[in-house]
Amino acid sequence: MTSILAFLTPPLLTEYIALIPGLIVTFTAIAVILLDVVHREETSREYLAYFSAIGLLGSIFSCWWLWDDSIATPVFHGMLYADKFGLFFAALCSAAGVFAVLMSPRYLVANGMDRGEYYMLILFSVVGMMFMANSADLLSMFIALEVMSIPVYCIAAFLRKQSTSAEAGLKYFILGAFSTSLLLYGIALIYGLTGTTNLEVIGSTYGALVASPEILSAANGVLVLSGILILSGFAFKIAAVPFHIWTPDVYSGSPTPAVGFMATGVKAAALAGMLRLLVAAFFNETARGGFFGMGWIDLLFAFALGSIILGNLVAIAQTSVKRMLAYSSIAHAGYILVGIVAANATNDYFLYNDTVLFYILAYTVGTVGAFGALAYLRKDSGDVETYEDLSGIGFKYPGIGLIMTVCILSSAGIPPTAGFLGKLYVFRSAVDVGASTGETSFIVLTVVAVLFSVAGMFYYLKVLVFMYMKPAEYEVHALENTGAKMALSVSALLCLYLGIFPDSAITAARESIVDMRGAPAAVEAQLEAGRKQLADEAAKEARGAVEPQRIPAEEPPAGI
Amino acid sequence: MEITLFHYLVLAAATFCVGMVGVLVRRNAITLFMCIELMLNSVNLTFIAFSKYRVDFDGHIFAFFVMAVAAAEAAVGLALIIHIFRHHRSVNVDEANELRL
Repeated sequence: MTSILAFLTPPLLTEYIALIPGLIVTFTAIAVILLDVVHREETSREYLAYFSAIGLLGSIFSCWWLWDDSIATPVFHGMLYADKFGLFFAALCSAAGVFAVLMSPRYLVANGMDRGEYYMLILFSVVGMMFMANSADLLSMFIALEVMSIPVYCIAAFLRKQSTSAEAGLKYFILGAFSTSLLLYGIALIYGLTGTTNLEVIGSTYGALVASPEILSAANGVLVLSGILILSGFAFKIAAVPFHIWTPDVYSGSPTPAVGFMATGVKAAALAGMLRLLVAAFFNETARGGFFGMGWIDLLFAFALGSIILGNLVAIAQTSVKRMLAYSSIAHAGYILVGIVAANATNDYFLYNDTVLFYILAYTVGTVGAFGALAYLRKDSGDVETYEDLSGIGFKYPGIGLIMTVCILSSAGIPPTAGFLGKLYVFRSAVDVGASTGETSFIVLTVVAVLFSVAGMFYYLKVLVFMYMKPAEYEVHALENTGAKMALSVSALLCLYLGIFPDSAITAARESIVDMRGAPAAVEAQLEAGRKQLADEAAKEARGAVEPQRIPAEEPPAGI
Repeated sequence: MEITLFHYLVLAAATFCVGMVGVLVRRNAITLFMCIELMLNSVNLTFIAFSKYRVDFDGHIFAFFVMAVAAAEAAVGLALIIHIFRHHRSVNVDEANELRL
């Protein structure tokens, strides 16, 4: 037990840098509530969207600004980490938030729900996501999870006049609260076994527990049970099979621009929290299992396989584009889990976690763009939902058609988009691990993933077929809005940019993984190699920038 | 008979299972909500029992935070249930089935 006195000492001033991105968003959210109080009822609330977007962009900027200021030990009495891994996800979740708030104003007006609370809820949810990715203790992780989830339940039910939105909110709430209870019970059991909630201390205590055979035989059942309960809680949030039931219903009932946020921000933050937990607390050989030694690797392996197969197959049968995208997000969760399983199955490939980070980034830009393009269009009778509603959109609204095309192609994984590179990296790392460890199950998993992502082409390309090859029969019009146009263009451009020039994003992902605090000693050698490689690349780049200047200076004398 | 850690844990596990089965089989939204609260409270009981057994304060603190979060969830959850009642004149979750499964 830590001394009580230790908790009475205030944190160092430098520790507060771990809070800066979160604090910026928190203050923006509070300012949005206050602005909404003094708002005149009959005028548009569009400025609140721009205000929120500026706050979120400020937080992304602060992530960039603080990039090199990571702190080696957990801050605030072991509650939070201040490292590049956290900053990467903080920037990613803020970006998902920027897209969501910019795409929302006209959509909310069209649905008769132009309320300031919407932006406040998204901002607070982003705060939860940031702390989730930063948490170094199960307590802070749990609180961050709830700060992230509770606003999202409200957003799902935000279209008060539609009973489908109410239904989506209730379903999300009941199943979300249920999954939180499972997670909490797992945490309680882990606390009972190890006597702490700090991730790194759990990691070392866990190692001591499983090292002695008599404790292991007595406690093994509870250890396995707690692991399953905690992973179930996370699998609910990332919508992995078999905890995916809520996803299509919630996504089709919720406001469309917010669905893009739910599908990307919530999933990214939950994956970040899960990765933190698994790497810092459960990286022990026994807990990991791997290659069917029945640990969390095997559990995630099963989740990945199920998500890829079920997500892709059921998506084919959908008639609603929103539900199709919901099932495809389940399939994407599966692809991401393939990357996590491949990178963490053995000690030697820890650096492959950077492919997971890149995939999440690619998935985020593609998905927010696709949902944003859907939210940009509107029928007289309601939201654009089915494939038929999209008929002829490609020629009627060429800009939106193009953006939708790029984002859909990126989700499907067609070059030269970000989604293609994401899939390539993840599958290559799985094949690499499978080939060098001689474990065929990884090759099988990758082959299944590739085959089913080809099957996925069917439902993605169906969107393009309806957009470009069907006559426009339906009365669909665009909700003209500058902010939404800008956000959509940026998401489509990012899909292309990350697909053609992935270097900077890959380097950022690699730096985040190398800098990840709380990683076990077993992977220290990989981290050191990664640091060296990054330093070499940086040195080469610096030399490359100098050389072109030096050569012309030497050449003229030779020419004369 | 002396009440030991074991008894508390079995009680908590039993209550947790009652709550879990309740969520899976009941159809009234309020009952579902009560079952979730039951699960959260059995988690609290587990935390407190372990905390007392280990003479460590972390479990007590965790239980307080679980209560605080449960209160926040209750606020949102009850609002959502009233919301669904306004649309369907019922709190039966089977009647809220416009989004097909």
